[in-house]
Amino acid sequence: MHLTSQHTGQVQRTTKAGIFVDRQSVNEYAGSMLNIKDVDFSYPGGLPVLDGASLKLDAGVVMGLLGANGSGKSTLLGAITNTIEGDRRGTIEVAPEAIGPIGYATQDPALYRHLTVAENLTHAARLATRRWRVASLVTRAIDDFKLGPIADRTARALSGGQQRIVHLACSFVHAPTIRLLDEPTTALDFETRQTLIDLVARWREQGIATLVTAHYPEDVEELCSTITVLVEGKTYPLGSLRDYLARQSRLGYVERLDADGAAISTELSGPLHSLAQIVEAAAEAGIDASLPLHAIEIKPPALRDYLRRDPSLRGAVEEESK
Amino acid sequence: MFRSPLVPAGQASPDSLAVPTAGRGVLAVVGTFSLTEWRALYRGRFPFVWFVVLPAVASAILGPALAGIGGVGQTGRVAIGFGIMFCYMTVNYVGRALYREFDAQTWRRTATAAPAKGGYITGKCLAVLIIGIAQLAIFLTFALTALGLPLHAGVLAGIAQLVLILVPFAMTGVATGVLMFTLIRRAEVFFSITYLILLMLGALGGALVPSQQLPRWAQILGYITPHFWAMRAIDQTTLGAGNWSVVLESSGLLFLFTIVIIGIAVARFDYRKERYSV
Repeated sequence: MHLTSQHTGQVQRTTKAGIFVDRQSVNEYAGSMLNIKDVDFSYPGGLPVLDGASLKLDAGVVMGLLGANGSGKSTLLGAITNTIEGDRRGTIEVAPEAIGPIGYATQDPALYRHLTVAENLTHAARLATRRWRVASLVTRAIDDFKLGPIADRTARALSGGQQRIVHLACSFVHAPTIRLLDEPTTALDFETRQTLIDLVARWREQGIATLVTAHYPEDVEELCSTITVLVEGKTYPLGSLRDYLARQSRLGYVERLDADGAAISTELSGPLHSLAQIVEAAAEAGIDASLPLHAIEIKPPALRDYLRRDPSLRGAVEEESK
Repeated sequence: MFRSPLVPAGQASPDSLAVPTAGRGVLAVVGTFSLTEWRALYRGRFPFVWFVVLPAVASAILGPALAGIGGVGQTGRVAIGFGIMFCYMTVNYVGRALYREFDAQTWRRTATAAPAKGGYITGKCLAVLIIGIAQLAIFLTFALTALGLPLHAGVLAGIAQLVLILVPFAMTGVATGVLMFTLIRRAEVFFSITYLILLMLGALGGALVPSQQLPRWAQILGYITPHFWAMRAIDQTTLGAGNWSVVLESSGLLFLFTIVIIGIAVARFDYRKERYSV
């Protein structure tokens, strides 16, 4: 059976396993490790969860996947890794240079409770790579994730936070070049969270393509370099986080004192790059200019401020679409 | 390592969306999962109670009474019968091994790696199968040496015949466990049914009392149980004349049971189907 790819325009061969293999299209990827196009997904007997979801994950990029609860973030990760039951349609391309199975750290810690940390890592490594690489990969994971002190403890004896970091180590012990993390910072203490942030930064330098779902904007700001928003099963790439925020309105707070000396705080929004713009925004906000000015603060844009006002980022999506 | 699964847009083809694996061999997969299961069984140690202690105690309590029903040499037969019946704890322990992935939440990681189904199932079940065979060997040895059960086929021929019976019989238990796992989503339902299966098949198959002592309807139902064919061949090897044709016929049927059951189970097995642990 031969099919012509709609994407590469080249002849592909179908293996016995039904996987379409195209070894000729290396250049097509040009640094993109994972390419998802028009993926639809619905659970058995359920409504569609994904509706033409598309994204392109390049090497060395940490993409934050944002969306409200139930928007389909975890489903998208499940559809990419082929680990959920349902009707899937669309295209998922993995770059020819991608190494090993995709690393996928699910929301819940996935550990055999009767095994030690080192044994869990060994099992995960043996599952995904060749035997001769296992020992060195396990040693490296123990070092990277700072698991040395707990390496010989059984998983059931670990705290919730320790289980989570061991789970992350197991998910990526085989050193995959594509890594998916589903809300990875949940239940991590400050130190462990920082370890993860440092690791993800190192992955970026190493050219690893990482996709992270997160609820908290602080996580996205600290972990991710680009963002994609998922609304009602559709993906909206917002590009570089820094560029996106730079394009957004700044936030301002003006405090005036009333007759009794109490502070009245008013939030401003708008460009707020010059004094004239601030005065204009204050007038629009209905601030009484006759009261004495007590304080004025113009903050640089932060994702959390936008999420506070627009949790689903629907407004951002509409704005970007224009 | 250079793979790119592609599916034309709009084409439904779940399997072809599968992320490629690193080309691990089936034996490596078997080794990975069987090692983990050995560790689970060894550190649990509870299987020893179910497989050996419980049938031994039941045999000691009920053996003398049940032996009176069948006649000469029946005490040893009763011991083996309890061994045969409780060997089907393999069904339960295969379930424990397979549902463990969901209890530990490791199933998605396994599904992402998508190891060969045959290797995965074999690795998960190998330890339980070996324990099941060992349990039968322990009960047979005890019955032959301590309870005076005869071996009319001769020592070497008898041992060969018993191996031909016990191995495929234990395999039917493992295969039944895998098939039940593919049919039942909830672990508590699975485990409830396993005890029912253990008792019902054991009784219908003549493991407790000889089939000819059962009501006619139970005898007829007994033909579809692996226990009947195992006990028939064991009776032939020990109390009977050691006729090879009877043993080979039973052994062949037990292998057939295994192949059919595991064939259906493997065809139904899908990493993506979520199960719910207790």
